[in-house]
Amino acid sequence: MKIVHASDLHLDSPLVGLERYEGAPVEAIRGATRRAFENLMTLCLEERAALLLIAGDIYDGDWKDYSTGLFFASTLSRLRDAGTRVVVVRGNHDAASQITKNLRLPPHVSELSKERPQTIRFEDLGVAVHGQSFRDRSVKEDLAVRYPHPLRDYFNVGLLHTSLTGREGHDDYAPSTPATLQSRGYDYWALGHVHRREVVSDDPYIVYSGNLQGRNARETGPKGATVVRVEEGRVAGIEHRALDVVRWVTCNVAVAESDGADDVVDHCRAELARVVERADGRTVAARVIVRGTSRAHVEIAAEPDKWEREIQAAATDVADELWVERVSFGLRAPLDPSLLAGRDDAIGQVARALFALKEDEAERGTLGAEFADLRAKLPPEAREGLDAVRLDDADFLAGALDDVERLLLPALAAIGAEE
Amino acid sequence: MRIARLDLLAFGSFSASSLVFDRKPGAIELVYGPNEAGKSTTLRAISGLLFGIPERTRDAHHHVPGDLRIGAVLEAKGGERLEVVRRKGRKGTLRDRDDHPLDEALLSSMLGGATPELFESLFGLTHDGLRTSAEALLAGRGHVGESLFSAGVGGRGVHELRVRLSREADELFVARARERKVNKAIAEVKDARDRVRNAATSPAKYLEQQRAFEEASAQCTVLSDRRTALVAEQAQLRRVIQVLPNLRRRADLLSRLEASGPPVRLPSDAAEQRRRAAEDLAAAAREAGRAAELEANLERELSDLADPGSLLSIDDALVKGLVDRRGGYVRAEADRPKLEAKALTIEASVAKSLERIGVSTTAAALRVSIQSGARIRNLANRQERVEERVGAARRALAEARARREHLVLALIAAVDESRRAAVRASLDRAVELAAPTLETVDRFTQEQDALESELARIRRERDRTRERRRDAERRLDELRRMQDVPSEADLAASRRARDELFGRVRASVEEGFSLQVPGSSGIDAKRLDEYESAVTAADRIADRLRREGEHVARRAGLEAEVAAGAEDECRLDAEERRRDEAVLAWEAAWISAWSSVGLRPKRPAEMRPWVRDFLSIIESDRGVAALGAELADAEGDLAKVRREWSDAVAALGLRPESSRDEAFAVLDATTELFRQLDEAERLRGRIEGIVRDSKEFGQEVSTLCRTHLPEAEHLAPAEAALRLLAAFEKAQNDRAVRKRLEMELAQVKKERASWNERRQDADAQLAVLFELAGATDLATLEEAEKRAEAQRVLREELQAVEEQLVHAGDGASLSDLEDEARGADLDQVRARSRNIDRDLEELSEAIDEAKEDVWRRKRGIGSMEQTDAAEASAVLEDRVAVLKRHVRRYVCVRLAASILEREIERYRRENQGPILTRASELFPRLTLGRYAGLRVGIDDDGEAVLECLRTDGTAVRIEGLSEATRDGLYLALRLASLERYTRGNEPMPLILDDVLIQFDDERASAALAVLGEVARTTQVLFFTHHARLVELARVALGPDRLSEHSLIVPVVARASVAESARG
Repeated sequence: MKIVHASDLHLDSPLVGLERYEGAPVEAIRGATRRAFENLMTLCLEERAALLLIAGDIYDGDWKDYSTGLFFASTLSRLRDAGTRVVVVRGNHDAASQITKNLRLPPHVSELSKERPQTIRFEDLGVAVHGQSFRDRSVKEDLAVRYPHPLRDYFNVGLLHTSLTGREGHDDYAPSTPATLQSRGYDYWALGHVHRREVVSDDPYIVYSGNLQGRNARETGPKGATVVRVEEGRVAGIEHRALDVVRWVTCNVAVAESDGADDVVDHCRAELARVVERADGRTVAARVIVRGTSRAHVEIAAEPDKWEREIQAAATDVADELWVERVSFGLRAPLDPSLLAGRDDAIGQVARALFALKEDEAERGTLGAEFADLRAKLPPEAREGLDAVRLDDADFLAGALDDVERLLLPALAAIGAEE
Repeated sequence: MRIARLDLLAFGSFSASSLVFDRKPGAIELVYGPNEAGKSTTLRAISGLLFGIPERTRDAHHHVPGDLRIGAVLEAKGGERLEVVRRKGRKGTLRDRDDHPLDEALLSSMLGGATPELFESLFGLTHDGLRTSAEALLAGRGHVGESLFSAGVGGRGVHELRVRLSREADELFVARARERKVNKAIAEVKDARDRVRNAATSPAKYLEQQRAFEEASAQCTVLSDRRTALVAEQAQLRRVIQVLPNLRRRADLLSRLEASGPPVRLPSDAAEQRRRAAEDLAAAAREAGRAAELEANLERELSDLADPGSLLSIDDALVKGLVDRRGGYVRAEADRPKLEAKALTIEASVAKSLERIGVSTTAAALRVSIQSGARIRNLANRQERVEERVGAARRALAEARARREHLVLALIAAVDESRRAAVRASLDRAVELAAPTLETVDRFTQEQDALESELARIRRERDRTRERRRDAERRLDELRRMQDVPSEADLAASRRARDELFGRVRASVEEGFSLQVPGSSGIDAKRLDEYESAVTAADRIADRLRREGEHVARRAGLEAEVAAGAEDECRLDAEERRRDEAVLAWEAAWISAWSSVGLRPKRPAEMRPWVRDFLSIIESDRGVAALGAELADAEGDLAKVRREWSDAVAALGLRPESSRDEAFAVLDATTELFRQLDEAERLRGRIEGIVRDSKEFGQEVSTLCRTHLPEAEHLAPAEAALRLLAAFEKAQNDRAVRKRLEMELAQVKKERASWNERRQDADAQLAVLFELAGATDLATLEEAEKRAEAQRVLREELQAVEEQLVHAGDGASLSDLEDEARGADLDQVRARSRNIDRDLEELSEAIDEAKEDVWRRKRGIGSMEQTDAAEASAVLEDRVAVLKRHVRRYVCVRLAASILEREIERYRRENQGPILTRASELFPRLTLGRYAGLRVGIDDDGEAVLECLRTDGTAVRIEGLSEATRDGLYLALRLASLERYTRGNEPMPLILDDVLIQFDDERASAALAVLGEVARTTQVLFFTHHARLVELARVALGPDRLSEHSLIVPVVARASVAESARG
């Protein structure tokens, strides 16, 4: 018997940070979360799964489009004829969602109660699924402690949306500990909420399947579901299956000192080609990080947008289905700011001033004040997510000062030189 | 830091050239080089030295890149010196004098983290640089902070950088603008967000759709039900319309059938059956009569046939054979007399021929021996071959014997005359002779060689030994002659003599004491003298021994050598004797090896060919023996063949010694005779055959006739045979006719029986029909048949009507249909049916519309799964990403601009005083006193700007200065900044590259004088192309403050820099 465990579908939520440019594969990423979910259906059918467990966060909390719910219900119907039963718990996002309140689910799909822990027995399969949905967005108590005792002669599964003891980048909801889960005496814990796949324990198995489709540059690598093979009432093996449609990757590019800006573009092209090769033919969304000490820096720092466009254009040569999400230039000029700061002259003074600003948080605050106008105008979306712009945040300004240092000092150092 | 010496070891066109810059402390180092002399190369060499030679250098045209080397001696402010060599490469390019790598930090800390560009900005100044920097002052409108800062970073680009940063910031964001990238991106984010909101489908909208769908479905169902009811009613009405006429017709048929009386039970083909039975009856009676007549005729023909007797028992093949043989018999009897005559003629001719040849034997005996004719010819051939073989064997034997004799003679010639006979004798039995083999001879040769070389060795060694001994004796002799060198034995002897004397002296003294003779020693003086001289002699010998120890040792060595030499000679003598004995033994063995041959051998080497020839003789002897055996064998064969020949010719009646030709002639003559005899014998055989066959034929014919045809028994065989054959053929023919007649008779009898049977069958059939119709004769039967046919037609019609009713009644029974139609009025029914048709048509349209409505609503709900909101939110993400990117850049550029601004202002605050004061001193000198100094004024925007004061006290702003004055102003600011730099930092050499070319002589002289002052604290390297400037410098600075260097065009392979330090 096979059980498929998935979580964090976040259906119809957009892939974040993808700025469109000429040649970007806009069509290829359209509906990525839906297609990943359809891949999940295909997986269940191919594996002849007896049971599909979804450990919460089917929708994005603030997502209001009811179409998404209709799609979810109708797509699940594909499993009815094959006899695959589905058990769902609501996660924090689902609890907040308008969609869940109204949606009628097909008869072979069970949603666990949000009022109290509930057990669903599948007598024909010898499987009991225990679990509880989130009542509202923020559940702060440990739900698992109240989960029922395991049923004798059944394969007992715990379905839970939780942050466990806390996971970076994820809010703390329904906190619990592996020890608590282990003490329940279940055979398998299907967890959701954390987007990175993780096998927390293998006795019993406590598994985060991770999300189905990476949604931003931080959610890199293969994403999908976990296939649990059950033999004689025990887990005989678990296997992760990649179901993502768009593969997020980080593409690190090292640059040599003597490289010019055009060489940087060439290196990026070569590295992107390698990255695409490893993605098994999927569409790739790549964040390119260019690092190194190089004479190319001054040229690129003066017009970073232009060079980012060059690299995106190079990417369209590499593959049709490749999207360069962003090029992060971490280049440095071949000069040593701390040596410059030791000089008693104009450029030494600028270098020292930059160091002082980085050290002095209060001083940085006054710099931030310069951006009061802008801050007032910025929409909330700019202040959220990856690469958030937080003009009143000391760390953000410190990062900006790094950029300033890398822009200003090389420019001043070269200021009187002949062309 | 100063450059004390610059070594252009291998760079550009330079090889192993040096510029020495530390000859005159505090002087300007003026490097003069006309165009192409390598001035620019030298400037690049300085940069390459300090920062490394660039990867893509243009100075590797004369030397290969890997060989490029620049050396220097650098002197820090504290006076410590560092000698370095820079080579081209990627790593470890800074080396010490011994080519060990040096830590790059040694230099970079001295350079304060400067890059080549920064170094060039700060400490390099060209004319173009001066000019553009001065123009930048103008562009910045003499803004004090920017001017000072520009002079402080040595650059003309500060203003440009400020402008660039603020322009980019402005392009990105201005708080109240619309057409700025950030502002625009913000608006687009908001738009996109609204679109997401509008694209979303709400649950209420879905539920509304769902409800409308369900209502439409219900309406559809109501309409459908109504249509179903109407369709059912219409069907009933149509049925009634259709069945009513047939129901009426059915009632009519039933009444007619009842009127036709009770049903007659005859089959429908009863009339046909009756007619056929009557016909059969008549035909059967006719045919039976005809068959009886035919039967009587056949029986009569049979009784007419004759009796064949025993003729049919004769075998058919026997009769046929008799006919064939009769022809042969007639022809043979005709041939017989002709054959007999021919045989007699041949026999007479043969008898005559035998007589003519004269052979004594009979023809039969001769025939037998002729059969061995082939053997006789064969024998003749064999005899010829054997004779040839005997001849060949004889010739070969003679040749072999001659060859051997030749060899023997050659061998004997090598032997002493006296022994030739004996040797010859032994050679004749060479095969059993035990002469030495080649191996034996070789072994003796080797042994002899070994013995001889042994002798040579002994002699050589003895000569050497003797020579050495004689030499030792000679030297010993010389030693002895030179001085009688005492030996240890001499010393011992002398000591013994001394001790003996002392013993005596002692005895005398002891004796004297014991006698208590005072004043008397008891020793006579002579003995004491003797003792004394003995002591002296022993001492002298000991001294000499010590002094001449070397001589002694040599002597001892030589003596030992002589003794050893003598010993060796004895040993060698013994060895020679042993060797001589071995020679004797060898010779004895050698001679004995030849004893059986009976000759006295010479040296083994000489005997070797002899042995080889001897071996050839043995070989030859073996050949002779083989040939002898062959000859004897051939001669035996010949005798045997000759014996067989005499036996063979005797059988031909010839003499044993008859020749081959004779024998062959007899064989040829008799062959023709025998052919004729054979012919005669063959004829006789045929005649006998004919007689025998005729006799047999006659007997057979007579026997057959006697049994089967007695009337022909006594006729001639040929005639009797013909009669017998005719009688046999007739009997056979009669038998065939009888057989045919009998078969026909049987057939006719069978036919007659069959016709009788058919007559009975027809009678029975008629009886059945009478029974069924209740008739007694054919007439009443025919009447019954007519009635039955009428009833059948009525019933069939009734059945057809009922079938139509059932078919039109949609499965209802006849009684149901009758019930349904009872009392119906056809006109009313038709009117109702037409109304229903109209109603149904209207209803159909309504249902189609309702169904389409349902389908449309269902599809609407289905398509609600599709979303535009997802795409809209992807667009929103795109806009957010654009916004974030622009904002990030804006923050960076804006911060950079304002930090730069702030630092320029701070630099002004901190440095305005000292730098402006110093520049204010330099500026009048550089402008030849046209200006008195500098001050800070405020422009219309309230900015602090530079003002130049004329001697009359009026102030001129940058915009009002001539180009040359502006150059002077920048130079003054720059030199003042440099002096300030030198106070707080490690000083760096100031490198001026033809900076004064646009200055007139007066100004150039003034500038040179100012530079001369700068040179007191900072090393000034002044490069120029212009000889005129050199002259001006000599005047302006004087010999103590100027150190001149010339770059010579490196036209020759090895460039050199001649240096002149005039004055």
